[in-house]
Amino acid sequence: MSTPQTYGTDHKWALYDVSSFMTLQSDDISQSDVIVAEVMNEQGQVITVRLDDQRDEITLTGILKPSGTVPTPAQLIPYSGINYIIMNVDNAGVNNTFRKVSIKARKYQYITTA
Amino acid sequence: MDAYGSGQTEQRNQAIFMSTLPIRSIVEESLGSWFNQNITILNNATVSLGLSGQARTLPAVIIHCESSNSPADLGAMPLGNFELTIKIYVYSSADDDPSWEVARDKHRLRCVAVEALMADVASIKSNWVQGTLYNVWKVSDDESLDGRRYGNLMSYTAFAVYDEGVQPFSFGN
Repeated sequence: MSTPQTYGTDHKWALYDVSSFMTLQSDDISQSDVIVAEVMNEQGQVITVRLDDQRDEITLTGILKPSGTVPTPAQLIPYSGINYIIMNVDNAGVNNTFRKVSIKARKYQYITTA
Repeated sequence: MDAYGSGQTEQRNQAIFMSTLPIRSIVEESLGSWFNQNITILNNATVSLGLSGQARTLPAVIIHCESSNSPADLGAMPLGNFELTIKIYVYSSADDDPSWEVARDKHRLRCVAVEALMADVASIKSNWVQGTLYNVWKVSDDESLDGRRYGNLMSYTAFAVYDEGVQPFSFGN
């Protein structure tokens, strides 16, 4: 006999953090290592891999607040406990909706940005 | 003969009782509790829940969880998560006050009060009777006049999940 479902699995909802100059709409976080050193055996099969020099990259989008100052490249932007270096800023508006800002930023593993 | 034995079909169809609440009842009872705690700002309105047999007198606020869908992000495995459409009806009579203008203004203040109660997501979460409310937000607010009755239909979207733990249930009469 089928039984009613009486329990659920909770999931992480929405964003990790907020922004001071815009009402945050989305975040997109990616991590990768720039150094990928592979060691092959006599058959050319990879038997060892060394990953290092991690990049944390983030894209934040939001609606600009009236008093918000849009940051510029090379400034730091904090998000969810990490200070990222801003690499790119998009600031777009049209005449019938809110002004949207998109920030692309990066954290280098061996550069201290505290 | 069905799984309940001969002659039990009608009894089975009367009700399926679960110790836990269905998601619609969770929504309506949670919001009903929160609204009733703040009944003074609704200015004498009676709060009732969607599919209620309760007699309704004006002014009235009716909370109804109209639809319960699986969140698109979870595809074929909703896992007890729900995307919900909540309709809140606010009705007032133009004859309850010395003038229709006063009645209209009081009606609109009731609507503003409903909006304020629904915007306090932290308090709604703390009044959630079972499981977890992820978030709730306003979608629309439409006003109309029917005879000498003012009515607003306020629509909200909510996302919620049942309790993590398995709840006991039973089939009753």
